[in-house]
Amino acid sequence: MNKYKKQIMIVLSIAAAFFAFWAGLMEYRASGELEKARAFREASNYEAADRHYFQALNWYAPWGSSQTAAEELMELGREHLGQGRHTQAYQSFLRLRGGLMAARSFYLPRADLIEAANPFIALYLAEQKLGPQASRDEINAQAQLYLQLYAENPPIGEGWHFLTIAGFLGWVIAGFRLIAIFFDNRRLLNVRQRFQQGRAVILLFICAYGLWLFSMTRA
Amino acid sequence: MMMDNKISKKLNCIFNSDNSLYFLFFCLLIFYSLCATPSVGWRDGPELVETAVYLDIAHPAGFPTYNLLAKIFCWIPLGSLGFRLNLFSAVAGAATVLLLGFFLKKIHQFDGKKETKISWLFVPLPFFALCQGIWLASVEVEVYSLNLFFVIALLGCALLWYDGYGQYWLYFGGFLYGLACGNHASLALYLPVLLILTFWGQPNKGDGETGHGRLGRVFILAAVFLVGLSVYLLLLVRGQAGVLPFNFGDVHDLETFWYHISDQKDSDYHTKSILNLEKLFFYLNIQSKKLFHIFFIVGIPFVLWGIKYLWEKYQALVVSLILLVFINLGFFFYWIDGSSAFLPSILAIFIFLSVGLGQFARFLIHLSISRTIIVAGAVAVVLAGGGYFGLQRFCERDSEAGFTANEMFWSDFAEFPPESLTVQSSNYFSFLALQYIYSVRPDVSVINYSSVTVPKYTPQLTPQKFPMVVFPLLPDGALMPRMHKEFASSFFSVNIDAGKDVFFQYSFDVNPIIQYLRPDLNYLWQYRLYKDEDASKKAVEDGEYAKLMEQLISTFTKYAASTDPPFSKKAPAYLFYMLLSPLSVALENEDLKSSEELLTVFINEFIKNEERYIVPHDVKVNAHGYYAEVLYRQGRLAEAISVLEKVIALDPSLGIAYYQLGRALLENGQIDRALEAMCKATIIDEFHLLYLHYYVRELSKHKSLNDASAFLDERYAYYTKNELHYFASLVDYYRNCVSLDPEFEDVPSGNPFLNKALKMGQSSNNSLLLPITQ
Repeated sequence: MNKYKKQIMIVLSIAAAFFAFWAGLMEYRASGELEKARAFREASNYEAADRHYFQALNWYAPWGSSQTAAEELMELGREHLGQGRHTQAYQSFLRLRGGLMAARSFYLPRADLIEAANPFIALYLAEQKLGPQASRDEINAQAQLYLQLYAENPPIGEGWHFLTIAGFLGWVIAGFRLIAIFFDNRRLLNVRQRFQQGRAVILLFICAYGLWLFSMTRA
Repeated sequence: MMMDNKISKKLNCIFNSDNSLYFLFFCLLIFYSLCATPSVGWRDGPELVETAVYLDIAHPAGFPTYNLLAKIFCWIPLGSLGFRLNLFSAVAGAATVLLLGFFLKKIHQFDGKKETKISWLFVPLPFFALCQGIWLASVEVEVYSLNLFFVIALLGCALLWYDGYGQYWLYFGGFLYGLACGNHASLALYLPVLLILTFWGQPNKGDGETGHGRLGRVFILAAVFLVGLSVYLLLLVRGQAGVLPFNFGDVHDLETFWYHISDQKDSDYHTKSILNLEKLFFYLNIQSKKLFHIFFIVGIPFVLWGIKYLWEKYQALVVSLILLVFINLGFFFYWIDGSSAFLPSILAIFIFLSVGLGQFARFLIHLSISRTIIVAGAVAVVLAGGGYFGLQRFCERDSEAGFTANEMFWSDFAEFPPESLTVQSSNYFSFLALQYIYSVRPDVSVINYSSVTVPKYTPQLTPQKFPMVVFPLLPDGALMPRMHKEFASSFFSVNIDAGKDVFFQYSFDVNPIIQYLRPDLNYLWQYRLYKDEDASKKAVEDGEYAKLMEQLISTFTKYAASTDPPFSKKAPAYLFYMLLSPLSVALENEDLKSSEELLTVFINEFIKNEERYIVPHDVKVNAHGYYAEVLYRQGRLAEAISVLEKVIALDPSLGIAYYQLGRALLENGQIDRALEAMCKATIIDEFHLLYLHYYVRELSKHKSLNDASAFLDERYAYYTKNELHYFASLVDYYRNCVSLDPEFEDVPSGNPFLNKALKMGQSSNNSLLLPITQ
């Protein structure tokens, strides 16, 4: 292991530098898109503003301009609603929802904003589906159905996914380790002796493989 | 002199250490990241993002290793899911170059010199990293950069084993090979390459023979390989576990699992047709041009020099690499547009090239040329060449860096009526991403036809087994998907839950869905502008077509009104971009007063782009063809013919150009020339049966039905002879079913099944729905 210590350190340093660069790039690009979005909003070009807010969310980071973009897009949607521009509000809320959903990882960013946007989207769709002749009660009932659908979607089983990946990496690493243990530089293993040495790894391999298979059925 | 030595030492210090390779790795990471597609991108990108996020089942052979590794990047909360996976490709691409550097360094040490001298690596490596195929694979969501990483890692394992670093490297290789096949199944074809590496020679040093003979080695290798290959269980387990958001091919049991991982849907393309010698030479010509384009003629002496040097040191490696090239070219022989498919070949040839360049550097030193001058020269070449290529790639980044892929489909998707159902072609994944990655409209159902067909895919869709419907796609289909709505709604509404509006996305390969939904039907449906050619022609005469074009142009004009068009300006030479880039430029021009002017600007921009992107790069895109299409639709037939003749002169391998030319000539009254051109289209594009269908129809109309039948017989014999059973079955289908098309109603058929159909068809008011069940 000491033999490779230097190389491991170099790779880790490169990884750290790369992540730093990646984070910086996100903020740089998100702030650029945010500025454009504001300019278009200022000029009442709402379609372009929506687009650029959405693109700012594409450069999501857990801080900074993308967060601001999400909040401003929500605000823009509400502004449309306030002024009776329902279709534009619907478009803004869809952009907000789509942008944040696509930025999800092990958590859903700004779930509060998505929750706030969903009822507007649901209501708009209910009105579209039932048409102008439908009563308010009918529309509300339909909107509730959509709201439930939108709140539950997409189904994300990240916990099981995590176990799947952990299991996969586990058996792959254990597999390589077992080969290193059982086949040395010079001669074929002394199975009994090496078995003693590698039994923990064998156990790891079996458990990881089992975990991988099982969690895949649940993920 | 002192100064010279100092500089020499410094340069050597910088370039003759492993650190320089790590530095290159880091620089490439940054560069690829800057160029990376921001979102899900085109082609298979949206699908692979979806399958990585949900651990779903992608198109054959499923790519489980890719999905499992890519999933790790999905958890990094920086950027969108699409962008993260593009960066995964970037990391794999940069790591490939890093491993390649170490691999070449190891080869260099075959001389027994343990000192590390890798300065010469810096001349070729950046060029390799920036060549079009490697760069493209590293900036978009695809499996190819990881695939290449596995290839070089496997070669590295073999090399280390051969060089006496320990027998476990051999078995590492075996295990890794199994996992690698889980990334791209085509790697399984490289088995002979690895067998040669394993059995040709024995390890140089150490006690390579380990008590178990070669047979024992094979047994152990097979065992560790199978363990690695078991990654494919992901498909079976996930497929059986329940309803996945996306399951290409509906993998759910051993039969469907085997069908999927053996990629039988593409077997005709990949293997059978290679036996056709005439085609072999035709494509060999194209492929060799591609290789020359990559390596230039000047590279060949270095490649040969590298082969000569390596032959003296490690014969098995030379044979293996050459074999790898042949297998790779053979497998993807007819995939002439997919540069990424040939990365293993590029890698193998590049290894020879690099070794040759290293020998050249030694030769210069041998001539007593100052080491400083050589290293400085190498640095200058890297800075100049690498800078040039880097700049070129950086400018091309807009090819992938635009948000076009998202924007193009966003408005359609957002505006679908509530609870719509949209049926997608198997290779059309953008809506899939909008639904499952962006989760824009959970109320809309997105169905990929591959998910609903049982049994899978078209090769099994023989007329006897599965009645089918043919929906040929015309070039304009892509622009007007919604025109299918009326037909689709009426058709599907009787089959699918009432109350669901259906938007039927265009598709040529939509047959399986129809046959799945209506297995009782068997008919030929000719999509033109409308349902059939006559209606289409009538629409042109009645001005409906013009109205639609106006509608289209008004949509574009809407974009033009925006000062911020959604489409990238610096679009490259792919089909979409060739179409969208000129449009965006045209639409940005506020001085345009009419749609006619808009069209003119569009066309001029089109031609300009073609000259800039297509001709110099020999990219097989029929840009002029679109121009000709516009001319054709405007009735400017002579101009269209002239443009198409130019297209054919530029690239005689474009079947579509011959087809378009034939159509224009036909309209112009030049029947014989038209038929000749259309016939050529069917021969050149032997996998595009739409041309065959058009040709046969025109042949029967302008010559005789016997001629048409004879031609179909001849093509049937051709496909059968070359074991292209899928295409043979389709030709057979045309042969039998032409009678269902009004143009072919007199085609004699000895098939009672079809005669019955014909009778029923004549008595039916609705020629589109012609039940002919036995």
